[in-house]
Amino acid sequence: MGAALEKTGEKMRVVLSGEITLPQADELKKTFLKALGEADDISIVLGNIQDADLSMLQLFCSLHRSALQQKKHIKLKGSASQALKDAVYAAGFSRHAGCKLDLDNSCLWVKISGAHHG
Amino acid sequence: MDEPLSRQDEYTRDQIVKELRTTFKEEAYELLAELESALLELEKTPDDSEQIGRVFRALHTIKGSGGTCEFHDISAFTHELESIFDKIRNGKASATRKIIDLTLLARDQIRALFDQYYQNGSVDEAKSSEIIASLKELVPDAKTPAQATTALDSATSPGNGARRSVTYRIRFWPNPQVLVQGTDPLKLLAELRTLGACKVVAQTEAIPYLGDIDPHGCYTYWDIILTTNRELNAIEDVFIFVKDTSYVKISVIDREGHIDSEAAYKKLGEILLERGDLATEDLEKVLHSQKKVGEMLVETGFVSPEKVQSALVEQQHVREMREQRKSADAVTSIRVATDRLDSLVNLVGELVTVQARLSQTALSIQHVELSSIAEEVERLTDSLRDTTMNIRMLPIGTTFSKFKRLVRDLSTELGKEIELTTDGAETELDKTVIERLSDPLVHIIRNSIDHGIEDPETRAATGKTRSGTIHLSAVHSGGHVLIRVEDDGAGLDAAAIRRKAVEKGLLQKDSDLAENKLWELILEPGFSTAKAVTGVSGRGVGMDVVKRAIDALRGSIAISSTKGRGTSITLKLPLTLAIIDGFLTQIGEEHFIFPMSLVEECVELTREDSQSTHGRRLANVRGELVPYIRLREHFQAGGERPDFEHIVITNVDNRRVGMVVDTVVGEHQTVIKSLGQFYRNVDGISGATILGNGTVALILNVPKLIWLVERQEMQATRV
Repeated sequence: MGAALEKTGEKMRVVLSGEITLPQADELKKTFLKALGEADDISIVLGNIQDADLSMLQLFCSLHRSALQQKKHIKLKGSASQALKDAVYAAGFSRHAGCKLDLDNSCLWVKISGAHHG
Repeated sequence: MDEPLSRQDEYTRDQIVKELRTTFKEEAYELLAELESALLELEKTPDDSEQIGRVFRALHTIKGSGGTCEFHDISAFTHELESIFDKIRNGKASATRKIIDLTLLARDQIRALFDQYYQNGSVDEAKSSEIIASLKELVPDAKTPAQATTALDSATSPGNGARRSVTYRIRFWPNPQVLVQGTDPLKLLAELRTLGACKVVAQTEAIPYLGDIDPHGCYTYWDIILTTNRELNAIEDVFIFVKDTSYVKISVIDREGHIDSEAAYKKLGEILLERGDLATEDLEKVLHSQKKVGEMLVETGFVSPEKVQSALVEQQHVREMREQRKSADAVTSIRVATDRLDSLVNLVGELVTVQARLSQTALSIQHVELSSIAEEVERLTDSLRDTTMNIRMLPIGTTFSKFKRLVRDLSTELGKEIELTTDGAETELDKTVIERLSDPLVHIIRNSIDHGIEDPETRAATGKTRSGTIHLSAVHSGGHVLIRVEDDGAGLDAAAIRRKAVEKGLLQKDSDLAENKLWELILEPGFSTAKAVTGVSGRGVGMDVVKRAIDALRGSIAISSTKGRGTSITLKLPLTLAIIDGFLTQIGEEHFIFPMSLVEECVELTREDSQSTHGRRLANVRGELVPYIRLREHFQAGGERPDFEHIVITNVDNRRVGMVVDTVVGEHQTVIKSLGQFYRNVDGISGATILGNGTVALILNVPKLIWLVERQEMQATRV
């Protein structure tokens, strides 16, 4: 797993790449906690993810709702890799509306599934 | 709803199987009828690939659906038969008479197996292996038609395909440790997707905030909607390693050929209630809003948007599946459980009665506006009644086809050659009438086979073809259906019947009775002229049973016969048993209803008229003498006989007979109610109805009345 955190002022860019599955879950959680702790505006680049699984998807949800709770912003930068899109579909995370916490319509899955199987 | 659901909610496998079996029941018997009819056709043209295909398809579908419903014995047995017909289909064996005989026996065995499940019947299971063993001797090396099956599945529409598809709703809530335990739920979901059209919606509400989340935990559960033609086992197998530690609930939500198979599906609220995601009282709170239910439920916080979305996915999936099936089926029809239809007819019946009361009330209080509403209601009720009655109509052909088997088996048993031809199989009749007609027809056809048609040698000796014919026909005639069984056999023996009638005291030795009256005597209890009692008929039970059954259907029997040429028995039956157009009359305080279809006209009868005929009960109607019956006397009605009476002239079998009543009220929509046990044996009455004012009117059985009075007179003249 590759995780690069690039901070510019209050903005943070998180670039994830490679394989992000269960063995990398602890590391991913730490990365997310760090990003959330350091910035109010986080953009995530997911174009180079080669493999993803349920643990990653759950952590993304968790990050997203934690950010919303703390009135911070998360958004997807660029398009997601095919491997991630496949995982979103496989896990049934594809949707056209976010969860009840997603008040600013920033659900990642809505954005990703729009480009996938519908 | 964030906590895992209680384990008590888990599906019971038995419930699902039971549900599948219930929905398959009707189709199972239809498939057996199709199999039988295809086999009988195949017997005539053993090389006809179309008929071989029909047999194969019927077997294939029974096997498949039997499997889905977990009728394992049926499925296994049919599988063997299918293998044999696969060989025949591929030209490696031919459909000999012996094979068809055995397959017909096999069909009966499958029926017995179905009966065992559906009607608590008993079955000799050893017979299955005997049949298969005998078939295998005739067609050795019949192998599983694996390839053929696949080809057939893909080549035929779902309507002809083997297993009907079933849509399941699955809620899969893995235990939180599932990932650590080495099971990837996504793999299970992927496996489910291979079973058929599948929609998966993850429910993520339980995923905690970043500070609290265990990255290795599983916080997600899934709603899966799966349409598959695989067995339930296939779904269960997916969850086999997690079922003890996870929550898995499987329920059937739709089935191909299901009674509710219209394009529309359950409403969103219903789905959420069924899933346990919404409480009834919460649903009620939002139902009256102008907004969409889904939006309101989310806004009020009763249900999470994800659950609403998941329910919407289910709704859309089932609709799509139904639409697909609908376009695949050329005929747009739905299957409706008969008891629902019966209750609809009952409701319409009640409505007709209430409507009559409304009309009568409007008339009696002379309220203009109410009268016009009553007329409108009457018009609507009439068309509702007609539409409902039409729904109950079935083609009589379904009954005809089973007689082919009867004729085939019985004629073989008796060493006769008989062909059954049919006509008017498309004639429609009320389903209740059809159901109750089957046994009488069996009796009549058995009689024709046994006593009517001669053996081939006798026929040849008298210059007839060796093979006899029984012709079964049905045709509409006014408010009735005429069903005729004609044979070209020996005809009834007038002398023998006369002898027997005298012997039984039904006829005086030297009395002169017209032939058509003579034939009617065979309908008397215990009347049989057969010289030998066979296993088939000749015990003198039968024709009187037929008469009773036809009477109960408010029908009549006419017999004609020519010695040496054959016999024809015609059953005249009303189209429906539920509601008829009646003609309401009154005698004293009592009300009587004539079936309108029998009424021709009404004429007045004055005291002078009746005196002028010197006690002979004949009325002069425009120069024609019409005999009449005084119902007042017959039913011993109370009250004074009025000076002006009315003769209701009926036409029964082309004979005009009058019935004298006090007053004529007019047309009446008559919802037929059966009489209680106590009144069942009152002759001349076939039922009752409730009038607008709540009083009871009796429905006259006119043919029976005429018959009774004639008989009384005959006995009187004998004395």
